[in-house]
Amino acid sequence: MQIYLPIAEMSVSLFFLIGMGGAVGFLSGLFGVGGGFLLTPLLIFTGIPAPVAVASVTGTVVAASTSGALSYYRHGGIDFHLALYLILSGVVGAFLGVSTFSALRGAGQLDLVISFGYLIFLGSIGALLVWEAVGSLIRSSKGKPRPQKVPGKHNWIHGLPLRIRFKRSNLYVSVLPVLVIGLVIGFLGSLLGIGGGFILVPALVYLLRVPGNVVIGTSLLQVLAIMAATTVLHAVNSQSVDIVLAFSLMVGGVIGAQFGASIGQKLRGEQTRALLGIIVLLVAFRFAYSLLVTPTDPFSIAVLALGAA
Amino acid sequence: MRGLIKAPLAVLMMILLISPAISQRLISRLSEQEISINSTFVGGTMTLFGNVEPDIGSTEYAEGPFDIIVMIQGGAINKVVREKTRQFGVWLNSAEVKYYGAPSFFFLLGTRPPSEIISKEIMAELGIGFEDQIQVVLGEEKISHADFTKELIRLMQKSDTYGIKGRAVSFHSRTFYSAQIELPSNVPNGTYLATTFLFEDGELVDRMAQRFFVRTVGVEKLISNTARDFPLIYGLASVLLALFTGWLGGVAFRR
Repeated sequence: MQIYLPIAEMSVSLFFLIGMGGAVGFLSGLFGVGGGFLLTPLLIFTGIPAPVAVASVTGTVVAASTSGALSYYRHGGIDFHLALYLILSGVVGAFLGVSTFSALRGAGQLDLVISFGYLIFLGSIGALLVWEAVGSLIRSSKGKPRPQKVPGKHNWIHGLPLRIRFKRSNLYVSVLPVLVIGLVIGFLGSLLGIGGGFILVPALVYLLRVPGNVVIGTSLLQVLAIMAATTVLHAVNSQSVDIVLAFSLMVGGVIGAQFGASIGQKLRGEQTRALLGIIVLLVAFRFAYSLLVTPTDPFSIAVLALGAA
Repeated sequence: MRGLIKAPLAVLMMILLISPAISQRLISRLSEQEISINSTFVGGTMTLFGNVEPDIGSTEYAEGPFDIIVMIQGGAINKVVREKTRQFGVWLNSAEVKYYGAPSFFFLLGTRPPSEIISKEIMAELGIGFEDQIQVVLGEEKISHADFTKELIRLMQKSDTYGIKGRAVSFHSRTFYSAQIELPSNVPNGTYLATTFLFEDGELVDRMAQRFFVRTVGVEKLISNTARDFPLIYGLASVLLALFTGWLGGVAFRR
Protein backbone atom coordinates (compact mmCIF):
# COMPACT_ATOMS: atom_id res chain seq x y z
CA MET A 1 0.00 0.00 0.00
CA GLN A 2 1.46 3.30 -1.10
CA ILE A 3 1.17 6.38 1.05
CA TYR A 4 1.72 9.93 -0.15
CA LEU A 5 4.16 12.02 1.88
CA PRO A 6 2.84 15.59 1.66
CA ILE A 7 6.12 17.37 2.47
CA ALA A 8 8.50 15.09 0.60
CA GLU A 9 5.92 15.20 -2.27
CA MET A 10 6.40 11.56 -3.16
CA SER A 11 4.69 8.28 -2.41
CA VAL A 12 6.33 5.41 -0.57
CA SER A 13 5.12 2.01 0.56
CA LEU A 14 3.52 2.34 3.99
CA PHE A 15 4.57 -1.17 5.02
CA PHE A 16 8.13 -0.39 4.03
CA LEU A 17 8.14 2.68 6.30
CA ILE A 18 6.54 0.88 9.25
CA GLY A 19 8.83 -2.10 8.69
CA MET A 20 11.91 0.11 8.63
CA GLY A 21 10.71 1.97 11.72
CA GLY A 22 10.07 -1.39 13.39
CA ALA A 23 13.48 -2.83 12.52
CA VAL A 24 15.31 0.27 13.74
CA GLY A 25 13.02 0.43 16.79
CA PHE A 26 13.90 -3.21 17.56
CA LEU A 27 17.61 -2.39 17.46
CA SER A 28 17.14 0.76 19.53
CA GLY A 29 15.20 -1.20 22.15
CA LEU A 30 17.86 -3.90 22.08
CA PHE A 31 20.76 -1.50 22.57
CA GLY A 32 19.01 1.28 24.46
CA VAL A 33 19.79 3.94 21.88
CA GLY A 34 17.50 6.34 20.04
CA GLY A 35 17.97 4.86 16.59
CA GLY A 36 18.11 8.19 14.77
CA PHE A 37 21.62 7.48 13.59
CA LEU A 38 20.30 4.42 11.69
CA LEU A 39 16.97 5.82 10.53
CA THR A 40 18.27 9.04 8.95
CA PRO A 41 20.84 7.33 6.70
CA LEU A 42 18.38 4.57 5.76
CA LEU A 43 15.84 7.17 4.64
CA ILE A 44 18.48 9.08 2.68
CA PHE A 45 19.67 5.89 0.97
CA THR A 46 16.08 5.03 -0.02
CA GLY A 47 15.66 8.34 -1.82
CA ILE A 48 13.92 10.62 0.71
CA PRO A 49 15.48 14.08 0.33
CA ALA A 50 18.14 14.56 3.04
CA PRO A 51 16.53 17.67 4.61
CA VAL A 52 13.16 15.92 4.95
CA ALA A 53 14.81 12.76 6.32
CA VAL A 54 16.80 14.62 8.98
CA ALA A 55 13.90 16.83 10.07
CA SER A 56 11.32 14.04 10.20
CA VAL A 57 13.56 11.62 12.09
CA THR A 58 13.92 14.19 14.88
CA GLY A 59 10.15 13.85 15.38
CA THR A 60 10.47 10.07 15.41
CA VAL A 61 13.24 10.21 18.03
CA VAL A 62 10.93 12.27 20.28
CA ALA A 63 8.41 9.39 20.27
CA ALA A 64 11.11 6.77 20.80
CA SER A 65 12.58 8.65 23.79
CA THR A 66 9.21 9.39 25.40
CA SER A 67 8.28 5.86 26.42
CA GLY A 68 11.81 5.25 27.73
CA ALA A 69 11.98 8.53 29.63
CA LEU A 70 8.55 7.88 31.20
CA SER A 71 9.59 4.47 32.43
CA TYR A 72 12.80 5.89 33.99
CA TYR A 73 10.76 8.71 35.50
CA ARG A 74 8.47 6.22 37.25
CA HIS A 75 11.52 4.51 38.78
CA GLY A 76 13.07 7.84 39.81
CA GLY A 77 15.92 7.50 37.33
CA ILE A 78 16.07 11.13 36.21
CA ASP A 79 18.11 13.98 37.67
CA PHE A 80 15.89 16.91 36.74
CA HIS A 81 18.32 19.49 38.04
CA LEU A 82 21.13 18.19 35.84
CA ALA A 83 18.73 17.70 32.90
CA LEU A 84 17.63 21.34 33.16
CA TYR A 85 21.18 22.62 32.59
CA LEU A 86 21.78 20.12 29.77
CA ILE A 87 18.51 21.08 28.09
CA LEU A 88 19.03 24.86 28.39
CA SER A 89 22.38 24.76 26.64
CA GLY A 90 21.15 21.99 24.36
CA VAL A 91 18.39 24.18 22.98
CA VAL A 92 20.98 26.86 22.19
CA GLY A 93 23.05 24.17 20.45
CA ALA A 94 19.99 23.01 18.53
CA PHE A 95 19.33 26.56 17.41
CA LEU A 96 22.90 26.85 16.09
CA GLY A 97 22.62 23.40 14.51
CA VAL A 98 19.41 24.22 12.63
CA SER A 99 20.87 27.55 11.38
CA THR A 100 23.99 25.73 10.20
CA PHE A 101 21.74 23.13 8.58
CA SER A 102 19.90 25.80 6.57
CA ALA A 103 23.09 27.59 5.57
CA LEU A 104 24.71 24.34 4.38
CA ARG A 105 21.59 23.34 2.52
CA GLY A 106 21.63 26.66 0.65
CA ALA A 107 25.29 26.22 -0.20
CA GLY A 108 24.75 22.68 -1.45
CA GLN A 109 27.11 21.16 1.09
CA LEU A 110 24.58 19.63 3.50
CA ASP A 111 25.05 16.08 2.21
CA LEU A 112 28.80 16.40 2.50
CA VAL A 113 28.68 17.61 6.10
CA ILE A 114 26.13 14.95 7.05
CA SER A 115 28.35 12.27 5.48
CA PHE A 116 31.46 13.58 7.25
CA GLY A 117 29.62 14.01 10.55
CA TYR A 118 28.36 10.44 10.45
CA LEU A 119 31.71 9.11 9.36
CA ILE A 120 33.60 10.81 12.19
CA PHE A 121 31.13 10.26 15.03
CA LEU A 122 29.83 6.83 14.12
CA GLY A 123 33.31 5.69 13.12
CA SER A 124 34.90 6.65 16.42
CA ILE A 125 32.01 5.52 18.64
CA GLY A 126 31.68 2.24 16.73
CA ALA A 127 35.40 1.52 16.93
CA LEU A 128 35.38 2.30 20.66
CA LEU A 129 32.42 0.01 21.33
CA VAL A 130 33.91 -2.89 19.38
CA TRP A 131 37.34 -2.37 20.93
CA GLU A 132 35.96 -2.35 24.46
CA ALA A 133 33.61 -5.29 23.89
CA VAL A 134 36.26 -7.45 22.21
CA GLY A 135 38.68 -6.65 25.03
CA SER A 136 36.28 -7.70 27.73
CA LEU A 137 35.22 -10.84 25.83
CA ILE A 138 38.88 -11.91 25.51
CA ARG A 139 39.46 -11.25 29.18
CA SER A 140 36.43 -13.26 30.24
CA SER A 141 37.36 -16.18 27.95
CA LYS A 142 40.80 -16.30 29.57
CA GLY A 143 39.04 -16.68 32.87
CA LYS A 144 40.54 -13.54 34.33
CA PRO A 145 38.24 -11.47 36.49
CA ARG A 146 37.00 -8.38 34.72
CA PRO A 147 38.76 -5.32 36.00
CA GLN A 148 36.01 -3.53 37.84
CA LYS A 149 36.20 0.00 36.52
CA VAL A 150 35.74 2.27 39.46
CA PRO A 151 36.33 5.71 38.05
CA GLY A 152 37.83 8.08 40.53
CA LYS A 153 35.38 10.55 41.92
CA HIS A 154 37.46 13.44 40.64
CA ASN A 155 39.29 14.44 37.48
CA TRP A 156 40.44 17.75 36.01
CA ILE A 157 36.85 18.69 35.14
CA HIS A 158 35.95 18.69 38.79
CA GLY A 159 38.49 21.42 39.41
CA LEU A 160 36.66 23.96 37.25
CA PRO A 161 34.92 26.95 38.88
CA LEU A 162 31.15 27.69 39.19
CA ARG A 163 30.38 24.45 40.94
CA ILE A 164 26.81 23.38 41.55
CA ARG A 165 25.47 20.57 43.69
CA PHE A 166 23.29 18.03 41.84
CA LYS A 167 21.62 16.11 44.66
CA ARG A 168 20.03 13.28 42.69
CA SER A 169 23.33 12.44 40.98
CA ASN A 170 25.28 13.03 44.18
CA LEU A 171 27.59 15.37 42.30
CA TYR A 172 29.25 18.67 43.12
CA VAL A 173 30.62 19.78 39.78
CA SER A 174 31.28 22.88 37.70
CA VAL A 175 28.36 23.98 35.55
CA LEU A 176 30.67 24.72 32.58
CA PRO A 177 31.30 21.16 31.34
CA VAL A 178 27.57 20.40 31.79
CA LEU A 179 26.64 23.34 29.57
CA VAL A 180 29.32 22.48 26.98
CA ILE A 181 28.14 18.85 26.76
CA GLY A 182 24.53 19.98 26.33
CA LEU A 183 25.52 22.48 23.67
CA VAL A 184 27.56 20.00 21.64
CA ILE A 185 24.86 17.30 21.75
CA GLY A 186 22.18 19.82 20.78
CA PHE A 187 24.27 21.06 17.87
CA LEU A 188 25.21 17.62 16.52
CA GLY A 189 21.77 16.17 17.10
CA SER A 190 19.95 18.87 15.16
CA LEU A 191 22.54 18.98 12.38
CA LEU A 192 22.76 15.23 11.82
CA GLY A 193 19.24 14.14 12.75
CA ILE A 194 20.36 11.93 15.62
CA GLY A 195 19.33 11.96 19.25
CA GLY A 196 22.92 11.80 20.35
CA GLY A 197 22.27 9.50 23.29
CA PHE A 198 25.18 7.29 22.31
CA ILE A 199 27.52 10.27 22.65
CA LEU A 200 25.78 11.81 25.67
CA VAL A 201 25.79 8.72 27.89
CA PRO A 202 29.58 8.12 27.68
CA ALA A 203 30.17 11.88 28.16
CA LEU A 204 28.04 11.95 31.32
CA VAL A 205 29.64 8.79 32.70
CA TYR A 206 33.29 9.40 31.90
CA LEU A 207 33.51 13.20 32.12
CA LEU A 208 31.03 14.08 34.86
CA ARG A 209 30.92 10.75 36.71
CA VAL A 210 27.13 10.69 36.71
CA PRO A 211 26.07 7.47 38.48
CA GLY A 212 24.60 4.63 36.42
CA ASN A 213 21.15 4.69 37.99
CA VAL A 214 20.31 8.16 36.65
CA VAL A 215 22.51 8.48 33.55
CA ILE A 216 20.18 6.75 31.04
CA GLY A 217 17.00 8.45 32.27
CA THR A 218 18.60 11.90 32.34
CA SER A 219 20.12 11.38 28.91
CA LEU A 220 16.74 10.24 27.52
CA LEU A 221 15.04 13.34 28.90
CA GLN A 222 17.70 15.61 27.38
CA VAL A 223 17.43 13.86 24.01
CA LEU A 224 13.64 14.09 24.17
CA ALA A 225 13.67 17.82 24.93
CA ILE A 226 16.36 18.67 22.36
CA MET A 227 14.71 16.65 19.61
CA ALA A 228 11.34 18.26 20.40
CA ALA A 229 12.93 21.71 20.14
CA THR A 230 14.74 20.70 16.95
CA THR A 231 11.52 19.43 15.37
CA VAL A 232 9.88 22.81 15.98
CA LEU A 233 12.98 24.67 14.73
CA HIS A 234 13.14 22.58 11.54
CA ALA A 235 9.41 23.09 10.98
CA VAL A 236 9.76 26.86 11.32
CA ASN A 237 13.09 27.20 9.54
CA SER A 238 12.90 24.86 6.57
CA GLN A 239 9.35 23.44 6.60
CA SER A 240 10.84 20.03 6.00
CA VAL A 241 9.18 18.01 8.79
CA ASP A 242 6.98 15.40 7.11
CA ILE A 243 4.49 14.42 9.79
CA VAL A 244 3.13 11.46 7.78
CA LEU A 245 6.64 10.08 7.34
CA ALA A 246 7.52 10.69 11.00
CA PHE A 247 4.29 9.11 12.25
CA SER A 248 4.66 5.98 10.08
CA LEU A 249 8.20 5.53 11.37
CA MET A 250 7.28 6.12 15.03
CA VAL A 251 4.41 3.61 14.94
CA GLY A 252 6.82 0.93 13.73
CA GLY A 253 9.53 2.18 16.05
CA VAL A 254 7.47 2.15 19.24
CA ILE A 255 6.31 -1.44 18.59
CA GLY A 256 9.74 -2.66 17.50
CA ALA A 257 11.41 -1.12 20.54
CA GLN A 258 9.29 -3.22 22.93
CA PHE A 259 10.43 -6.48 21.35
CA GLY A 260 14.01 -5.27 21.18
CA ALA A 261 14.02 -4.35 24.85
CA SER A 262 12.72 -7.75 25.98
CA ILE A 263 15.36 -9.59 23.92
CA GLY A 264 18.05 -7.16 25.02
CA GLN A 265 17.59 -8.24 28.63
CA LYS A 266 18.57 -11.80 27.70
CA LEU A 267 21.83 -10.83 26.00
CA ARG A 268 25.08 -10.11 27.78
CA GLY A 269 26.26 -6.52 27.93
CA GLU A 270 29.48 -7.14 25.98
CA GLN A 271 27.61 -8.96 23.23
CA THR A 272 25.07 -6.21 22.71
CA ARG A 273 27.80 -3.57 22.78
CA ALA A 274 29.87 -5.48 20.22
CA LEU A 275 26.80 -5.86 17.99
CA LEU A 276 25.92 -2.20 18.31
CA GLY A 277 29.52 -1.28 17.55
CA ILE A 278 29.49 -3.38 14.38
CA ILE A 279 26.23 -1.84 13.15
CA VAL A 280 27.49 1.68 13.90
CA LEU A 281 30.72 0.93 12.03
CA LEU A 282 28.80 -0.42 9.02
CA VAL A 283 26.82 2.81 8.75
CA ALA A 284 30.06 4.80 9.02
CA PHE A 285 31.65 2.69 6.25
CA ARG A 286 28.65 3.29 4.04
CA PHE A 287 29.21 7.03 4.37
CA ALA A 288 32.95 6.65 3.76
CA TYR A 289 32.08 4.71 0.61
CA SER A 290 29.84 7.51 -0.69
CA LEU A 291 32.57 10.06 -0.05
CA LEU A 292 35.47 8.15 -1.55
CA VAL A 293 34.11 6.10 -4.42
CA THR A 294 33.38 7.75 -7.77
CA PRO A 295 29.63 8.43 -7.80
CA THR A 296 27.63 6.81 -10.60
CA ASP A 297 26.09 10.21 -11.27
CA PRO A 298 28.18 13.25 -10.38
CA PHE A 299 25.27 15.57 -11.11
CA SER A 300 22.41 16.22 -8.73
CA ILE A 301 19.43 18.48 -8.72
CA ALA A 302 17.68 20.34 -5.92
CA VAL A 303 14.78 22.72 -5.62
CA LEU A 304 16.00 26.20 -4.86
CA ALA A 305 14.14 27.88 -2.04
CA LEU A 306 12.25 30.96 -3.16
CA GLY A 307 14.17 34.13 -2.66
CA ALA A 308 17.51 32.35 -2.29
CA ALA A 309 20.14 33.72 -4.61
CA MET B 1 -0.58 30.79 -51.45
CA ARG B 2 1.09 29.33 -48.42
CA GLY B 3 3.99 28.06 -50.42
CA LEU B 4 4.86 31.53 -51.67
CA ILE B 5 5.52 32.99 -48.27
CA LYS B 6 8.72 32.07 -46.55
CA ALA B 7 8.10 29.51 -43.85
CA PRO B 8 9.27 31.48 -40.78
CA LEU B 9 7.15 34.44 -41.67
CA ALA B 10 4.16 32.24 -42.20
CA VAL B 11 4.63 30.67 -38.80
CA LEU B 12 4.95 34.06 -37.20
CA MET B 13 1.73 35.18 -38.82
CA MET B 14 -0.05 32.09 -37.67
CA ILE B 15 1.13 32.67 -34.15
CA LEU B 16 -0.15 36.23 -34.14
CA LEU B 17 -3.46 35.53 -35.77
CA ILE B 18 -5.03 32.61 -37.46
CA SER B 19 -4.50 33.21 -41.13
CA PRO B 20 -7.80 33.39 -43.01
CA ALA B 21 -6.36 31.10 -45.64
CA ILE B 22 -6.41 28.30 -43.15
CA SER B 23 -9.88 27.09 -42.70
CA GLN B 24 -9.44 24.59 -39.91
CA ARG B 25 -9.62 25.13 -36.23
CA LEU B 26 -9.08 23.05 -33.13
CA ILE B 27 -11.68 22.12 -30.55
CA SER B 28 -10.23 20.35 -27.56
CA ARG B 29 -11.24 19.38 -24.07
CA LEU B 30 -9.62 17.79 -21.05
CA SER B 31 -11.35 14.89 -19.33
CA GLU B 32 -10.49 16.44 -15.98
CA GLN B 33 -9.92 19.95 -14.71
CA GLU B 34 -8.21 18.85 -11.56
CA ILE B 35 -6.02 15.99 -10.39
CA SER B 36 -6.38 15.43 -6.66
CA ILE B 37 -3.51 14.11 -4.62
CA ASN B 38 -4.73 12.17 -1.59
CA SER B 39 -2.99 9.80 0.78
CA THR B 40 -3.05 6.88 -1.66
CA PHE B 41 -2.08 8.86 -4.78
CA VAL B 42 0.16 6.78 -7.05
CA GLY B 43 -0.11 8.91 -10.17
CA GLY B 44 -3.00 9.89 -12.38
CA THR B 45 -4.09 9.93 -16.00
CA MET B 46 -6.31 12.28 -17.91
CA THR B 47 -7.42 12.37 -21.48
CA LEU B 48 -7.22 15.31 -23.81
CA PHE B 49 -9.51 14.92 -26.80
CA GLY B 50 -10.60 17.11 -29.61
CA ASN B 51 -11.59 17.55 -33.20
CA VAL B 52 -10.33 19.48 -36.20
CA GLU B 53 -13.27 21.51 -37.43
CA PRO B 54 -13.86 23.76 -40.42
CA ASP B 55 -13.41 27.38 -39.41
CA ILE B 56 -16.49 29.45 -38.63
CA GLY B 57 -18.13 30.49 -41.89
CA SER B 58 -16.08 28.08 -43.90
CA THR B 59 -17.62 25.16 -45.71
CA GLU B 60 -14.32 23.55 -46.52
CA TYR B 61 -13.96 20.29 -44.63
CA ALA B 62 -10.76 19.33 -42.94
CA GLU B 63 -8.66 17.12 -45.13
CA GLY B 64 -5.55 16.18 -43.26
CA PRO B 65 -3.53 14.23 -42.62
CA PHE B 66 -2.85 16.19 -39.43
CA ASP B 67 -0.30 15.93 -36.70
CA ILE B 68 -0.73 16.95 -33.10
CA ILE B 69 1.79 17.93 -30.45
CA VAL B 70 0.51 18.46 -26.93
CA MET B 71 2.78 20.37 -24.57
CA ILE B 72 2.20 19.93 -20.84
CA GLN B 73 3.84 22.56 -18.64
CA GLY B 74 3.89 22.67 -14.85
CA GLY B 75 4.34 25.85 -12.84
CA ALA B 76 7.70 27.59 -12.84
CA ILE B 77 10.16 26.69 -10.08
CA ASN B 78 13.77 27.44 -9.28
CA LYS B 79 16.24 24.59 -9.52
CA VAL B 80 19.91 24.22 -8.90
CA VAL B 81 22.12 21.65 -10.63
CA ARG B 82 25.30 20.66 -8.85
CA GLU B 83 28.29 18.70 -10.01
CA LYS B 84 30.42 16.58 -7.72
CA THR B 85 34.15 16.50 -8.29
CA ARG B 86 36.94 14.89 -6.34
CA GLN B 87 38.71 17.40 -4.16
CA PHE B 88 41.22 16.52 -1.44
CA GLY B 89 40.33 12.87 -2.04
CA VAL B 90 36.59 13.12 -1.39
CA TRP B 91 33.69 13.73 -3.72
CA LEU B 92 31.87 16.96 -3.06
CA ASN B 93 29.59 19.39 -4.83
CA SER B 94 31.90 21.95 -6.39
CA ALA B 95 30.15 23.65 -9.31
CA GLU B 96 26.53 24.72 -9.58
CA VAL B 97 24.20 26.48 -11.96
CA LYS B 98 20.90 27.96 -10.83
CA TYR B 99 17.82 27.93 -13.02
CA TYR B 100 15.05 30.40 -12.40
CA GLY B 101 11.59 29.76 -13.75
CA ALA B 102 12.10 26.35 -15.31
CA PRO B 103 8.85 24.36 -15.57
CA SER B 104 8.42 21.92 -12.70
CA PHE B 105 6.93 19.46 -15.18
CA PHE B 106 7.29 19.34 -18.95
CA PHE B 107 6.12 16.76 -21.46
CA LEU B 108 5.69 16.75 -25.20
CA LEU B 109 3.15 14.25 -26.52
CA GLY B 110 2.86 13.72 -30.25
CA THR B 111 1.17 11.67 -32.90
CA ARG B 112 4.76 11.02 -33.97
CA PRO B 113 8.05 12.08 -32.37
CA PRO B 114 8.03 15.92 -32.57
CA SER B 115 11.29 15.95 -34.57
CA GLU B 116 9.49 14.03 -37.34
CA ILE B 117 6.49 16.37 -37.34
CA ILE B 118 8.18 19.75 -37.51
CA SER B 119 11.56 21.20 -38.37
CA LYS B 120 13.97 22.43 -35.73
CA GLU B 121 13.34 26.02 -36.80
CA ILE B 122 9.59 25.82 -36.23
CA MET B 123 10.17 24.05 -32.94
CA ALA B 124 12.45 26.87 -31.82
CA GLU B 125 9.99 29.52 -32.92
CA LEU B 126 7.18 27.87 -31.03
CA GLY B 127 9.53 27.53 -28.06
CA ILE B 128 8.53 23.99 -27.26
CA GLY B 129 11.95 22.35 -27.01
CA PHE B 130 13.47 21.47 -23.63
CA GLU B 131 16.16 24.11 -24.02
CA ASP B 132 13.60 26.80 -24.87
CA GLN B 133 11.87 26.15 -21.57
CA ILE B 134 14.98 26.50 -19.46
CA GLN B 135 16.65 29.76 -20.11
CA VAL B 136 17.25 31.94 -17.11
CA VAL B 137 20.44 30.70 -15.54
CA LEU B 138 22.87 32.02 -13.02
CA GLY B 139 26.23 30.47 -12.41
CA GLU B 140 29.94 30.97 -12.52
CA GLU B 141 31.23 32.43 -15.76
CA LYS B 142 33.84 29.79 -16.36
CA ILE B 143 31.51 26.80 -16.39
CA SER B 144 29.48 25.81 -19.40
CA HIS B 145 25.80 26.38 -18.75
CA ALA B 146 24.85 24.27 -21.76
CA ASP B 147 26.34 21.17 -20.14
CA PHE B 148 24.44 21.82 -16.93
CA THR B 149 21.22 22.41 -18.86
CA LYS B 150 21.69 19.01 -20.50
CA GLU B 151 22.17 17.45 -17.08
CA LEU B 152 19.09 19.22 -15.71
CA ILE B 153 17.01 17.81 -18.56
CA ARG B 154 18.49 14.35 -18.08
CA LEU B 155 17.83 14.36 -14.33
CA MET B 156 14.29 15.64 -14.81
CA GLN B 157 13.69 12.90 -17.37
CA LYS B 158 15.07 10.35 -14.93
CA SER B 159 12.56 11.48 -12.31
CA ASP B 160 9.71 11.26 -14.87
CA THR B 161 8.97 14.98 -14.70
CA TYR B 162 10.35 15.83 -18.15
CA GLY B 163 9.90 13.78 -21.26
CA ILE B 164 8.83 13.25 -24.83
CA LYS B 165 6.28 10.64 -25.85
CA GLY B 166 6.19 10.18 -29.59
CA ARG B 167 3.04 8.06 -29.82
CA ALA B 168 0.83 9.35 -27.06
CA VAL B 169 -1.64 11.15 -29.33
CA SER B 170 -3.74 9.19 -31.78
CA PHE B 171 -6.30 10.04 -34.43
CA HIS B 172 -9.43 7.91 -34.28
CA SER B 173 -10.82 9.34 -37.50
CA ARG B 174 -9.47 11.87 -39.97
CA THR B 175 -10.20 14.68 -37.54
CA PHE B 176 -10.91 13.25 -34.08
CA TYR B 177 -7.96 12.72 -31.78
CA SER B 178 -7.19 11.94 -28.16
CA ALA B 179 -4.07 12.12 -26.02
CA GLN B 180 -3.34 10.22 -22.86
CA ILE B 181 -1.68 12.44 -20.24
CA GLU B 182 0.05 10.42 -17.55
CA LEU B 183 1.09 12.13 -14.35
CA PRO B 184 3.56 10.25 -12.11
CA SER B 185 3.18 9.97 -8.34
CA ASN B 186 5.82 12.67 -7.79
CA VAL B 187 3.97 15.19 -9.99
CA PRO B 188 4.47 18.67 -8.50
CA ASN B 189 1.48 20.64 -7.24
CA GLY B 190 0.42 23.65 -9.21
CA THR B 191 -1.34 25.05 -12.23
CA TYR B 192 -0.64 23.26 -15.48
CA LEU B 193 -1.01 24.34 -19.06
CA ALA B 194 -1.82 21.84 -21.80
CA THR B 195 -1.27 23.44 -25.20
CA THR B 196 -2.35 21.54 -28.29
CA PHE B 197 -0.63 22.37 -31.57
CA LEU B 198 -2.21 21.26 -34.82
CA PHE B 199 0.13 20.77 -37.77
CA GLU B 200 -0.47 20.00 -41.40
CA ASP B 201 2.54 19.21 -43.60
CA GLY B 202 4.86 20.44 -40.88
CA GLU B 203 3.16 23.83 -40.59
CA LEU B 204 1.19 25.14 -37.67
CA VAL B 205 -2.53 25.35 -38.36
CA ASP B 206 -3.99 26.18 -34.99
CA ARG B 207 -3.29 25.96 -31.29
CA MET B 208 -5.36 25.82 -28.17
CA ALA B 209 -4.36 26.01 -24.52
CA GLN B 210 -6.15 24.64 -21.48
CA ARG B 211 -5.44 24.88 -17.80
CA PHE B 212 -5.70 22.15 -15.25
CA PHE B 213 -4.69 21.87 -11.63
CA VAL B 214 -2.77 19.36 -9.58
CA ARG B 215 -3.62 19.78 -5.93
CA THR B 216 -3.34 17.92 -2.71
CA VAL B 217 -6.75 17.46 -1.10
CA GLY B 218 -8.10 16.48 2.29
CA VAL B 219 -5.67 15.70 5.09
CA GLU B 220 -2.63 16.03 2.81
CA LYS B 221 -3.70 19.52 1.81
CA LEU B 222 -4.26 20.46 5.42
CA ILE B 223 -0.80 19.13 6.32
CA SER B 224 1.12 20.86 3.55
CA ASN B 225 -0.78 24.13 3.99
CA THR B 226 -0.25 24.15 7.75
CA ALA B 227 3.44 23.35 7.31
CA ARG B 228 3.79 26.31 4.98
CA ASP B 229 1.48 28.89 6.56
CA PHE B 230 1.65 28.07 10.26
CA PRO B 231 5.07 26.41 10.70
CA LEU B 232 5.20 27.01 14.46
CA ILE B 233 1.83 25.38 15.08
CA TYR B 234 2.79 22.57 12.71
CA GLY B 235 6.05 21.98 14.59
CA LEU B 236 4.32 21.97 17.98
CA ALA B 237 1.62 19.61 16.68
CA SER B 238 4.30 17.24 15.36
CA VAL B 239 5.96 17.19 18.77
CA LEU B 240 2.64 16.60 20.56
CA LEU B 241 1.85 13.73 18.20
CA ALA B 242 5.27 12.21 18.87
CA LEU B 243 4.89 12.59 22.64
CA PHE B 244 1.44 11.02 22.52
CA THR B 245 2.58 8.11 20.33
CA GLY B 246 5.55 7.47 22.60
CA TRP B 247 3.39 7.63 25.73
CA LEU B 248 0.74 5.37 24.20
CA GLY B 249 3.39 2.85 23.18
CA GLY B 250 4.82 2.89 26.68
CA VAL B 251 1.39 2.36 28.26
CA ALA B 252 0.20 -0.29 25.78
CA PHE B 253 3.27 -2.46 26.20
CA ARG B 254 3.82 -1.86 29.89
CA ARG B 255 4.61 -5.10 31.56
